[in-house]
Amino acid sequence: MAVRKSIAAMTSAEKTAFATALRQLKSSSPNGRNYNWYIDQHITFFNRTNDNISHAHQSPSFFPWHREYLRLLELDLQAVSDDPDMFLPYWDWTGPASPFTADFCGAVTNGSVSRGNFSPSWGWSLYRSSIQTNFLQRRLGQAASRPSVSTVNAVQSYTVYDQSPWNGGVSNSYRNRNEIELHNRVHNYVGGHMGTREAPNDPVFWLHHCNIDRLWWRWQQNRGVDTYQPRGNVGGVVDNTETMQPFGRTPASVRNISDLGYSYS
Amino acid sequence: MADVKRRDVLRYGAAGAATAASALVGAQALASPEAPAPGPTAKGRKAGPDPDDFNEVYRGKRIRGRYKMGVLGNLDLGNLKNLGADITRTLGLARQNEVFVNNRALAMTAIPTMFFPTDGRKPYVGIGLISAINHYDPVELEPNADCLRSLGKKVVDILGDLELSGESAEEHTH
Repeated sequence: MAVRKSIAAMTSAEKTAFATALRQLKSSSPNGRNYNWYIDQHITFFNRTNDNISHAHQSPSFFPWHREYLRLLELDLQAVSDDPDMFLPYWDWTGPASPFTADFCGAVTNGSVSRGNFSPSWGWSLYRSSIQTNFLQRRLGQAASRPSVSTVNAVQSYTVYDQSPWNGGVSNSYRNRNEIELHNRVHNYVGGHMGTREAPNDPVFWLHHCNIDRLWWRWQQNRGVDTYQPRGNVGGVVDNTETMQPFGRTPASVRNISDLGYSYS
Repeated sequence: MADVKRRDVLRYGAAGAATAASALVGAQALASPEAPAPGPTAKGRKAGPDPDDFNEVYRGKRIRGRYKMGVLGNLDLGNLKNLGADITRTLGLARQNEVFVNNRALAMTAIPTMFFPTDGRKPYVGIGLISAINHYDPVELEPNADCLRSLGKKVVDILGDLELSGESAEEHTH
């Protein structure tokens, strides 16, 4: 059982182990998936696929799709590190702890991670980058600020999981408010590759999405674990018991994190 | 409930929201005789001799583009709150627009989205243009090329001293 910790509570050894496991996954496929597989999936399923569904974003399945996506990565990191307790850490961007340090997700110099962790010389290569560079790019704070505690609380107060038209234009929707006001905003706060469709090139992607998953879990604990919408018979989106590509799992099957083998501290 | 932004220059009937994508493609051809036939993918396009709606240097990079919104130019933003799957599919038509940064193509697509102004206005629903570079930061659709110019400038701001790669020209639809 993985216990996902805040980056503020991680030891130096845990940070090093996490970064090392990510690098190892670049060059190995312990469960038939390497790191770049995750980047491929993010690009593919950000798009509306041939089933006319946007599985990963701008749709109800935003939360469950990423929950399963993160769970698979956690399993792969446990396998590649031979550490069954390896966990995905979460970055609570409302707090002071920063992941952008030389001993963790890499420090930024003039927008580039050019030395140390997650630099090319350390062993981190970019994949399918839409920016022509070998260096991971970040533009901290250039395009957006981090969400405040009050913004997070306002988003968490929405009571309806999602509703028609089930896309990015629905206003009274916890899913859409979280996706745009929190999720998108932090992607834009980090900027650089985190603002692109190949965002998982930046390891901070996982820390950010782990926090998004944590917020959804907290919302579920207040509103109900089995609250996914739509329940069925809605075209163009993933219903509660329809399968999400490429995972073959339904939103219903990932609604309870206890059943998935992890928890949040 | 968010306010829905309205523009006097964008008019469209509610029937449009219920029209299938294929029909809208046909309507586009009828309503916009000047619109070019579907061409090769953005990846296959080269910086050709076609006239540009804007062509300027911004922060040391040449940005240029052509505005070909087709049926999107007829949308009434007042109906966006009722956008369903059919009309969402038609937003992919916006990929016919062209933006180049230093002669490198930038594929884009349009999505229904909420905007959260930082100037005190209430959140509202609109159509946003995204590309591989500004994937989480849409530029709001406007009835002229200014939105493409804004998109080009945003991308340059993100790139800094760097350039687009071939991946940025890969088409995508949401």
